[in-house]
Amino acid sequence: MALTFWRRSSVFAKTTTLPFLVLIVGVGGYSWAQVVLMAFSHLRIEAGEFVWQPAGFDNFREILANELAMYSLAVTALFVVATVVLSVVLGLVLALLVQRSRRLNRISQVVLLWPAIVAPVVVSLIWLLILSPNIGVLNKLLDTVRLPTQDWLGTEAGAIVAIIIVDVWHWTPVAFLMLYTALCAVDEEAIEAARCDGANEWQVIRYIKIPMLMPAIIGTVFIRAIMGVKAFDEMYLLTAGGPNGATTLVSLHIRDVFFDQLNYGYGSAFSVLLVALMSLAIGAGMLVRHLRAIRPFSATREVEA
Amino acid sequence: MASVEIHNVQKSYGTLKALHGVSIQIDDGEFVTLVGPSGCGKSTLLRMLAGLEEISGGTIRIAETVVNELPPKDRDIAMVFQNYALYPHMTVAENMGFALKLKNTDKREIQGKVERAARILNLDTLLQRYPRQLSGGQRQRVAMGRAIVRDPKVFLFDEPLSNLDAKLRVSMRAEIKSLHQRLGTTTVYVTHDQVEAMTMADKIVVMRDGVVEQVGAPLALYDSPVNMFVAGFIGSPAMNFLTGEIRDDGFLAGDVRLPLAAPAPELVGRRAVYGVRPEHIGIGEDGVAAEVCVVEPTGAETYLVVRLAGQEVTCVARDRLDVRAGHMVRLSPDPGRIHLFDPQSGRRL
Repeated sequence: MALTFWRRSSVFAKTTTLPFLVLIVGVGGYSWAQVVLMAFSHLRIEAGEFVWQPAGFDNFREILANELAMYSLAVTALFVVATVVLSVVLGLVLALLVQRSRRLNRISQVVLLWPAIVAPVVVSLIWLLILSPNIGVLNKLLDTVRLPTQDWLGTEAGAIVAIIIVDVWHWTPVAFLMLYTALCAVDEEAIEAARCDGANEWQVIRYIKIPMLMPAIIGTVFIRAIMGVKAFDEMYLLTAGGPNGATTLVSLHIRDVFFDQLNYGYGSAFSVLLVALMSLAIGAGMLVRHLRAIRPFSATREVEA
Repeated sequence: MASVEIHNVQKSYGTLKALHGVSIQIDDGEFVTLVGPSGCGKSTLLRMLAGLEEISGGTIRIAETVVNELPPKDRDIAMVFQNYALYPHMTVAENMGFALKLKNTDKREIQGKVERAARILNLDTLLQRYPRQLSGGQRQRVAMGRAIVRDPKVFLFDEPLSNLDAKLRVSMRAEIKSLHQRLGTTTVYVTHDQVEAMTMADKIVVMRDGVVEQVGAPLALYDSPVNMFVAGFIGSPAMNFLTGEIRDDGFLAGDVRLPLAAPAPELVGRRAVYGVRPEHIGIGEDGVAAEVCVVEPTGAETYLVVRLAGQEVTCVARDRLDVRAGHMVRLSPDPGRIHLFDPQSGRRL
């Protein structure tokens, strides 16, 4: 029996999506299942082969007992919060400023995106040169204005601050780009209406632009948070987790146990734990949004009538 | 008191001049419409009044104060935009109370004013809705509510009805007019629709290419337009123009002699444009013969497009006519309501 046009197009849509689904599930799903399996196993390599032993929750218990693991979770949380807040706030401020500027608009778009284009290896090199205690520009600058110099990457607090600054410098452009595009799409008439309603510049930003940018801000926060949890390359090259493990982000810790200590079960368990924690955070975020959608409230809710 | 005085106002974008020295006097409480085809500068002028566009030259005074350098927030004007420009993240009540909130008005007072405006505009039941939950007409009313809650010196309307369907446009037109009669606030209303301009305004300003063509009361513009542009723009269907020559016994267009009330002696023999409105052409037993090209019945009236002296002429019949394309009819323009224009300058003779 001949299929109708609508049935045919529906069948076509399903069959054409299938190869991609198979590819994603085949590549991602298989290895992901392997990681989960490894997380619940003791693994050794003998004569070039994996030797599997069921481990139950042993690997997870080991993580909870490992001080460095717990510290890496804490320092990653600090890193994520600091970089997300700083880069989103900076990105927002830059977007607002660039959009207002007439003459520098084009050039600043290009210049501000520049850090994001630079490869992480190069970024690390640039910042090693800036932060170096002897030849670094930063210390020379501090010295010139008679402020105490520091061995930035040599002290624990200094190193944490340094990797936050580097990450913010490197990835604020992404936040800027996302917020700037969203800002350009904000209805200009609504802003003009607010001006006619008597709003000054700050009130336009506070009551109109930021609320209208909220979806973009939330999206940017999510993306930057995920980038923060995954951050690896610049830190690995700048501090390698030191000094004294002070900048051991989770990604660095996993790399260490997986590739240096060859503790595959533990490394996999930590990866699974990380994904679970992130899913939990994203789920919580979505729940909050859902609740807000049911009973909406906004920054200007006070005008009740 | 809030009169508006626009004196020799100019606007240029680089080398392009959008307004060439516009002067308009708007008295306190007056309803003035700026009308003209798109690109004539009427919206630009309104935005300059609002403070949303810089003034390149001349002065604008609102309530005796020069406002050229004042930002919109210090001008005490309220503007209603073509696309409503409601704040999508605020409820109707928040939208309407926003201006008062910015002035740190007491919450209870805001609530009172918002509710009063909502009652006037029949929005009482919609106060907790968001703009996306409203129809076009309701959004338009919220936009107006936002303006009247503030009790400003001047209302500025920028083609507020152009996004509404024809029926709603007619009812909103009446609503805006009665609102103005009730509040008595000075109003400047921009539109490209001459019917809106005619029906609502105390005074109409007809603009073209950044120049004011004529200012006057609606019927004054209808009865004695200063040039062919105003004559053609005001009135619907538009005035008919026939070129020909003025004779002492009428107007000769091609080989057709059209009636004309005794012309001034110095005009006799001169080439001119004969302007007559469709509603001033009688259709009957006598008059000049013309062939019917198109018949457009609207119910109440019937529009006939006829060919007269090689040119198309529109006329309106109040009665039902039994004519079809190809029939001949006899037309008799009312000689007392003929307008004569100079064919070169387009000025009224």
